[in-house]
Parts: sequence; C-alpha cells; structure tokens
Amino acid sequence: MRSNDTIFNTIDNGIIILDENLNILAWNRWLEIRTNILKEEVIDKGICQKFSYIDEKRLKRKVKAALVTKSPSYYNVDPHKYLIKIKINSINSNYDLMQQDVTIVPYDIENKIVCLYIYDKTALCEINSKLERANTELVDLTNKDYLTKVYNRRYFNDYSKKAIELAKRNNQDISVVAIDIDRFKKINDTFGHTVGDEALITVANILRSNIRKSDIVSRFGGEEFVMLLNNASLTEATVIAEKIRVIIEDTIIKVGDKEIDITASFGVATLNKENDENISITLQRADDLLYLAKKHGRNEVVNSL
Amino acid sequence: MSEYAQFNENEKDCLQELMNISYGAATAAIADIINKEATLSIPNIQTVTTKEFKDYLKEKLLNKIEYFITNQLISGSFCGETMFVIDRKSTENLALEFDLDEDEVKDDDELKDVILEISNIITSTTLSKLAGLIETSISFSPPQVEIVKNSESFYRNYINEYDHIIIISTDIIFKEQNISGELLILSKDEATIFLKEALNRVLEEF
Repeated sequence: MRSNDTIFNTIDNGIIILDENLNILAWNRWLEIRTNILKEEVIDKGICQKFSYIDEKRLKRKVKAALVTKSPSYYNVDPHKYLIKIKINSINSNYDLMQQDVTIVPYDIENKIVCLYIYDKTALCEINSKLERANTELVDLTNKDYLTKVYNRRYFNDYSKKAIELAKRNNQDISVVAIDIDRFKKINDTFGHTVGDEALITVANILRSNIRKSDIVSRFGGEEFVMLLNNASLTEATVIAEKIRVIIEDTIIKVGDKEIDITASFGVATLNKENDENISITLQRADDLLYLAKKHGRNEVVNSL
Repeated sequence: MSEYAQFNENEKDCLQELMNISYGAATAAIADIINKEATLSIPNIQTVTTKEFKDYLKEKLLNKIEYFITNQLISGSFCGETMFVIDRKSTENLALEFDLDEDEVKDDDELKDVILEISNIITSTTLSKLAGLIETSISFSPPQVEIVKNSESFYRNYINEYDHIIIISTDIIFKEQNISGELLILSKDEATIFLKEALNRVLEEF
C-alpha cells in the first residue's frame, strides 16, 4: 500500500479517481503542484462543480463508456485541448494552458469507480504546430509567387484542370481574366525596381481581395496576372474585371513625396464547353482580348473581338 | 500473401460467427451508453494484398466527399489496427444522436470527439469480446482521427504500414437516422496466422 501511495504521488502524470457521479475520490501530488489546489480542497467534491468549465454530460458519458466496455475511453487533446486548466509558465510556449490527453480506465467496476490519467502533451503539440507551419510554408513556396504571394503559373495549370472538370460535370461556366499592368516598364525605368515591385504587390493584393474564395489569381510572369473565376459567365466575369479595373485606377502608390498612378488592361474569356475547349485555348483568347485592350489605349476591359 | 495466411471457408464462417457475437456486445454497449439503437451488418471478411487494399479504399473514399477516419492500434497476439470510416453527413447525423446542438454539429472538433468516442466503443467492445472468445488478451492505443479531404494523399501515407492485410468490415447503421460507417480490422500475416490457429481450436471444440 505504501509503494502504491509512492507511485501515485511521484508519477509524472495527473491522476484523478472519480465515482460514477463524478465526485473526486483521489487527486495526486502532480495535480496539487501544477494546479496549486491541494487534495483536501477537492476530495469528495464534484469535479464539474469544482471546475465549472468541464462539460458534465460529456465526461459522464465517457466515464460510463469506460465502465460499460470495461476498456479505456479517451479525452483526446485534438478536440478538447485539456480537462483541467493548468497554466504554462514557459516563455517559449505558444500555449497558455497545458495541452492534455486523458485516458479514463475502469478502476473498480463493481463500485463504478474510474481512474483518469492526465498526460502533458504540450511539447508534442508545439512540435506539431511548428511542423504544420513549416509544411504550409513549403506548400506556399511551391505553389505561390515569392514576391506577390499569389499563385504561380504551375499551380494555375494544375488547379484549372480540376476546376474545368468540375465545371463540366456541374454544367457551370468558368471564366479566365488576363490582366496586365499598363506601362509597367516605364514605372520600372523611371522609379526603379523597388517601386515596380511595390506596384506588382499592390495589384496582386487588389486582385486577391476582390475575388471569391472559390476563385484564384496567379502571376504568370512579369506584370501579367490571370484570374480563374469559377461558376462565372462572361457577363459576370466582365463585371468583376470592370470593378477591379476601377479600383486599380483609383489606387495611388506613394513613394517618398511622389505619387504614382497605375492602371491595368483586362481580357475576359469564358470556356467554351460545347467545343470541349481546353484551358490553353481559353487563356489564349483572354490574352488576345487583353492585347486588344492595350491597342485600344489601355485601362480597359475587353470581352469580345 | 502466403497460403497459410489465407482463410479457408470453415475458418471464414467461424470468424464471421465470432464477429457477429462480438458486434452484439458493441451494439449493447452503444444502447447502454447513449441510449440509441444501432445495428451492425453481417461482417464481410476479405484477405487482400496491399494493392487490392488500395483499390478497396479508392472505391470506398469517393472524391469530393470528406471522411472522418479513425485509427486505433491493437496490441497482443492478435495485433493490428482498426480503422473506422464515416462520411461527413453521417458524422453530423451521428453527432445529433449524441445530443449535440446545431452549432456544435458545425464544429469539426466536436465532430472529431463524437467519432473518436463511437469508434472507441465499437472497437474496444468488439475486439475485447473477440479476444475473449479466442482466449487471448489484447489492449488498445488511444484512437487518432483525421479528416480526409484528399483521398490520394491518404492512401499514400497509409499503404506502407501493412504488407498483407485482412479486412473485416461492417456497416454501423442507426435506426431512423441516415448514418452509415464502416469498421475495418487490419492485421499483418503473423496476427492472421495466430487468428487462424485460434479459429481452428474453436472449430475443433464444436
């Protein structure tokens, strides 16, 4: 019995023993130290009364599951984060509270008593979130343009194939808008590449913030961008392009005490489903229309020859 | 797969019968814990190669549908892994059976909890009962859950785990609700051989 007490109070896990009504029968030293709550303060008290943030219905169900199945039930860190709020005092942690996995095991089936083992999973969660961030960065590096953070041409090609398949299956329109910043070479030559880069970033941000979540914008190289608009007819795509054209026209890039006006030209084409057109042909048509917009004097949206 | 790791018809029948008894224990546990009546279909038993398992999953996991998939490791003489596959719509309906409200049903973390709980109940009850029937002991690791949006990446990560696989699958169906999930029990050759020997002992007794 003495050795059991020693294990109970020296183990590097939290241990709580509960009856079926969720009254606390035991509370080990690990919990006393980390919560600053002594066992005398919690013994014979309902765990959900003492810690009102615990979902009583759910915990009761999990306790019952352990007793009925005579096997462990779990309070996983993934959905729950924690059972007992324990503050993390590390300056390196992204978490304020200890992330916990909890295993509920039958302790005394006849008297309907269970034992809860609380495991500190904070370090593992930190590693997982770092890995997730690194993974997102890797995906971004592969799929996005380094300067403007919109998608690159490679991603556009992959994505457009899937989008076209879906559009054909659902009998929906899909439109392509080719965009080119007007007189970009002059901006670069007059104000330098830093200002040119600023113009590219500004236009990319305008494009990205004026499309729906289901649409994508990509940089095809130089000062040319392409938007793929899902479930958008030629008329709807033209309305979006015209709205963006006006926003770009009204945008001023400030460099020191200078203000630079920018404009862009647009070519809009919709995939011709009847001819079983592929994306390259639609893209070529959008490019031809963009060329026409440039020829007409720039700062214009053109959607038909 | 080696000849010895294949089930003959007698062994298949015997395993199917034992699984039926085991699933009975699982449905009784579900009824007791959440007060809902569930039925589990007669288990389908297949022995497959890695490639066939990939094709099996491909057929199961339809494109454009999200699935919740849990995994739970089994340790002991009959070791392996269980996998519970359920689509999002069924998961949401199941969550309603667990008395979650409309807002909670939209929360992926809440849904994950429901799936972890139901798959743990089914897995632990079914396999503990089966282990008892073939007179062995097993234990389980905590279940893990993931939401699979892209089935291709899921097969890639999964296939390397097993050389040869037996699939014992069943549908879990809740009355009056459109809920259908599939429980798969995957084991390697050594565990399959252990199971075959245990089944033959049961067959000899009857």
